[in-house]
Amino acid sequence: MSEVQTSVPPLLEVVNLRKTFARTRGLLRRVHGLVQAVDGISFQIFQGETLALVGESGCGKTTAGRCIIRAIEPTAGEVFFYQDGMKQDLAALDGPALRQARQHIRMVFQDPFASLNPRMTLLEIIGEPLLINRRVRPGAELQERVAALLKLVHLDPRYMNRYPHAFSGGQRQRIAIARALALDPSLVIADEPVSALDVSVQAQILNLLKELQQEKDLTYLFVAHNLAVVRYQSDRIAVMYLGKIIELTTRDQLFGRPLHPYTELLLLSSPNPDPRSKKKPPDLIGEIPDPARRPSGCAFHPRCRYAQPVCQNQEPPLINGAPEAAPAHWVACHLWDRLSLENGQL
Amino acid sequence: MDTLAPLLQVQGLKVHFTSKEGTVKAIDGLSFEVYPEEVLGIVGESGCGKSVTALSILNVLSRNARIVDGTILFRRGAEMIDIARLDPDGEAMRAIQGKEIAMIFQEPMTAFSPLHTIGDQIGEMIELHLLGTPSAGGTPPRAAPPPKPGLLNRPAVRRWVDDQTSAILGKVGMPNPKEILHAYPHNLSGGMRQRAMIAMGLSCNPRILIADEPTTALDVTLQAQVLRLMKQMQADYHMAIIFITHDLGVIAEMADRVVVMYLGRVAETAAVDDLFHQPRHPYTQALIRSVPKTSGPLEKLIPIEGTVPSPMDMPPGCKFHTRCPQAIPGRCDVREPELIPVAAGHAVACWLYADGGAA
Repeated sequence: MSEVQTSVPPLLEVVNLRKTFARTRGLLRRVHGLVQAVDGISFQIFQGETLALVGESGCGKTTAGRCIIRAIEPTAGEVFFYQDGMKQDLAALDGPALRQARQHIRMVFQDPFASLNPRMTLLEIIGEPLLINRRVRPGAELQERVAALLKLVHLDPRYMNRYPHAFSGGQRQRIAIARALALDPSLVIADEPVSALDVSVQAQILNLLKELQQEKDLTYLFVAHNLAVVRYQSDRIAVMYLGKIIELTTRDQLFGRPLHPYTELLLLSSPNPDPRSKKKPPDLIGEIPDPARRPSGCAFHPRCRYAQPVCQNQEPPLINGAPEAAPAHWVACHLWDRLSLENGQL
Repeated sequence: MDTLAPLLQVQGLKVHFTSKEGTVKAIDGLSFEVYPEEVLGIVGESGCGKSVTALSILNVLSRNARIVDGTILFRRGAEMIDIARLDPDGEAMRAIQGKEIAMIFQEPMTAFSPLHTIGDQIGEMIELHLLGTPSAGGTPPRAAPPPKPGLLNRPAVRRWVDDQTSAILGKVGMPNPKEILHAYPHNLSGGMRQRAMIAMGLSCNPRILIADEPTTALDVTLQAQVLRLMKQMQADYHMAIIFITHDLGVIAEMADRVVVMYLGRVAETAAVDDLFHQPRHPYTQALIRSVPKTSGPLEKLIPIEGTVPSPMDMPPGCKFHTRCPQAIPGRCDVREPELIPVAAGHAVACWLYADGGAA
């Protein structure tokens, strides 16, 4: 699945990315199991869009995001980043070249209580990437830039000399966003940016991310578990299950006509804030498997209500199930064209 | 449901915490009722006092917390017991805790002791509460009458407790309850642990089960399964559930009636359908508008501006006025509104509804 949309080159192209963690035991840390956290995923992200990686805990969505920026070293695969007509494989870079590339890709983390150093003022937190990369001189110039960044995320620049503890969760996430945008990146990897926030504040941050995207022509890789949030934020969505992408398509196609039984299960299980909603989660069969003991064939088959013998024996390839002219709709299921799945839009 | 007498009546409850920085009024005049066999949802954001409410009902507040005013009346037959007046460590309170009012927590990994088996932890509850009470449990009937407690009878007691424990584990859908008896919490997956937690809550057949964010730590597919299990157990055991959560989606699915809390007080209370389809309080309306939905039209999210005020620095008047788009200056920022009935079973604490008219 290398060509999702033809002609325009993507901003980021991930090819067969893998990350294997070893499970060790005892004093000698003997390896007794391997976890394929990310098991050969490929996707592209285009300039100005938001691609969401969704899935439940342990599906590898966070690891995938971190492998792209090399916060975690990928085991195999390529991560091509296109910048100023150049193509670089981030997975093969190191030293100054990696540091250079990382200025274009920044991260926003889940927990703004953990991701901001409590001993640094906002000026230091937001200014640090600017100083390290010699974008500005310390002093007035730095203060001016940080003030502009604070204004960008709708915080009062006068707060610049305060410490993070003086701020609420939502405000801290704004600070984290300001830090991520300090170097004018082209790609922002947002890993569950609102799941630690109160409901009334979530919408503020989600709207802010959208607003900044339009203003700065940003591209987002949005990692999340909450399908409702993803529905509001993304242009395209990749659903992951045990390290693999099992469905990847536009938001409207995914929510309108899901093709993978796991996506159907997620849609039907997500609670909807309407007591009149008639969608019913199907009976859950099977347990969520241990990632170290990946089921044979299609990894979802022990929990799939449609599973056939073939699903146990053969791993389904990721193929395009969209009709001619429609945007690509990638799905990895043997039965995709024989099922009519519910979308939960009742 | 209104014809029935409430099982639990919280009236004018005030709980204060003392800390170095000052007094925090975590609950500041809270009133609501729980009726038999209903699911009462309590929804609110962090700091609204929903968990403190649960701890107050069970009288297990931490040492720096104090019930300074109000009553928590629990009905037992014709008698009304004021839990707020009971000694937290006394016999009378212990007879209620776990037996008549049980609680399940958000994170089963921390709520269970890591050093004891699941069977021991649930069995302890059963042994403490049910042994020597011949008519233990009305519905569903217990298989065998409990044996007489005593040192000589230890093996029989042990067998009986184990039988009861594995029966309840089977009831919550554990695949092999006899083996789970000997498992430690870390041997179980997250979903299984939460089932064991529910089994522990149900083990003494309580009349009220308090569930504090019981599915927040779970993935959605497991959450759906646990919610369904709780609904079924509620029907089988004829108990009332107080379901505490910040998740409006879960409330819509689970609750019969809902209490919306904001900074230690009830903002609005209504039947679940009225609350979602005719919300009256500006806070409730704003909450519903701000939550992303998995279906329906894709409208722009409208956030609630500002942040929840610090409990150290509570605004005067209606506590929501600092964030309320419809606040009336000179009124909302001066006096705190009381709950005003607006329809059958629907009350709202908002000055917009004060003169009997809808806003």
